[in-house]
Amino acid sequence: MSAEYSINSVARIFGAALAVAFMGMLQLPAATADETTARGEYLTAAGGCYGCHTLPVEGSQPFAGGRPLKTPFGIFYSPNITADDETGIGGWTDEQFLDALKQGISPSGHPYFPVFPYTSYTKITDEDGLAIKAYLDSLPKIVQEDKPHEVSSPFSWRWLQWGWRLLFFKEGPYVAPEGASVEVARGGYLVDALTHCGECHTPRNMFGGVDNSLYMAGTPNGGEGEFVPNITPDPETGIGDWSKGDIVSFMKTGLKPDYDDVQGSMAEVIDHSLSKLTDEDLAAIADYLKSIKPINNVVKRASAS
Amino acid sequence: MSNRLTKTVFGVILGSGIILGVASAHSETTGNAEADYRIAEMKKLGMNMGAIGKVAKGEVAYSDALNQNAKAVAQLSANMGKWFPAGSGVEKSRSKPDIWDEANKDKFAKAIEDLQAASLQLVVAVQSGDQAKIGAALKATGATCGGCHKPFRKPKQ
Repeated sequence: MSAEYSINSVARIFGAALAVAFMGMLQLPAATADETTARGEYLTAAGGCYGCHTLPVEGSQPFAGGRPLKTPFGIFYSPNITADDETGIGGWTDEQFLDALKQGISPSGHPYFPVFPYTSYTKITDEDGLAIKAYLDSLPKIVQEDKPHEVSSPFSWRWLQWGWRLLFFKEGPYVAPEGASVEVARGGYLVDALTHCGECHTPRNMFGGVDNSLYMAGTPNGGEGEFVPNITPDPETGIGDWSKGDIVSFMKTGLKPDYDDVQGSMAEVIDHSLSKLTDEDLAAIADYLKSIKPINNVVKRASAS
Repeated sequence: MSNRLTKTVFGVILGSGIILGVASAHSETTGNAEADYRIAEMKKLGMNMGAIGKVAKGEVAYSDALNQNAKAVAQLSANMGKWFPAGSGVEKSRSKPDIWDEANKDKFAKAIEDLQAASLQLVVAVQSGDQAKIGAALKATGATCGGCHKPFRKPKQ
């Protein structure tokens, strides 16, 4: 716990108190618990939490973790994020939850591995983060112990994460590009904070840090060793020849402009996350993706597999 | 391909109602004529589907020429069973060897039949000229692609 932290938490509590006081002054009704939970359900879908935190096997419990996530550094097993007190995240305070989600720090103070995309989630607003918590808290509590990761040293050394964070973790809220329209700013928030598209579509360096000079330009070896396409608006190597309608329809149905169906992990992303978003939000994402810098990058497989 | 060019190309396609199998400059041969033919036919299928899709998405106005595209989809689907002769599952083709495995024969045949059935519905929907109906039929037709692509297609190289 650094001093900065405590200031942070004080600010948070103070801010919350101030907000409540303001609401009282303005006679604004605060969101009811049910409204917050419903908003949280939507945001949880946008955040794609289900995908990693649920074993993709018939009959497995949502959000109970245990899904193996294959990375170049080893196999990570997602933890149980149901509200079970013993094996899940039950009993976490709001502050502990936000620290985990937005800082990648566990309640006991250890840093998470960046296979958990706190690097993107740091941009989620506190209000949205707590709505996600409210939703997770409303679900059945599942008793399921977390599986230990199968990662070899030195990558398994958690303390090295402090160095990694210094190099590759930029904490802070979402900042829309200069001069962005309301739609583009909303789309950017969804893409960079919640749906975390860049965690797969932006290539990583040898240490697993994303290389933002190639933002969304694709990579031949994404998670699970998958080929990940270039989704910048470059007409030749990206999706510049997709219309806004093509992008929206793809996110809703998983069908490309030629009506071929999506392959690989993206099918899951669409099933559990993107297809659950409103047309308005999908249009905002499409507007945002159309607005980013086109990068001419042919994604070639490193080796024929 | 720029956006404007895409629109023009689709416009021409819709206007003429005919799709010629255009081999793109990037296409490389698999070294097997039957596999190359299959890939070219699949491309035509995609282009016709895409042309109808532009109308379903409201980006291009409906015209009677769309009926040609729908018929092309149905026709291509009707012939699809012949695109997979034994020996055409070469390395460079995305077809998995499982296609020619006797154990999968029925599953593979059924996937093609599903597409054929859906494509006939697409012809009817396009004839109606109703955008919502066209969209629904396209979605149903596109959804049948996965019946083959998921189990029987290698990932993109």
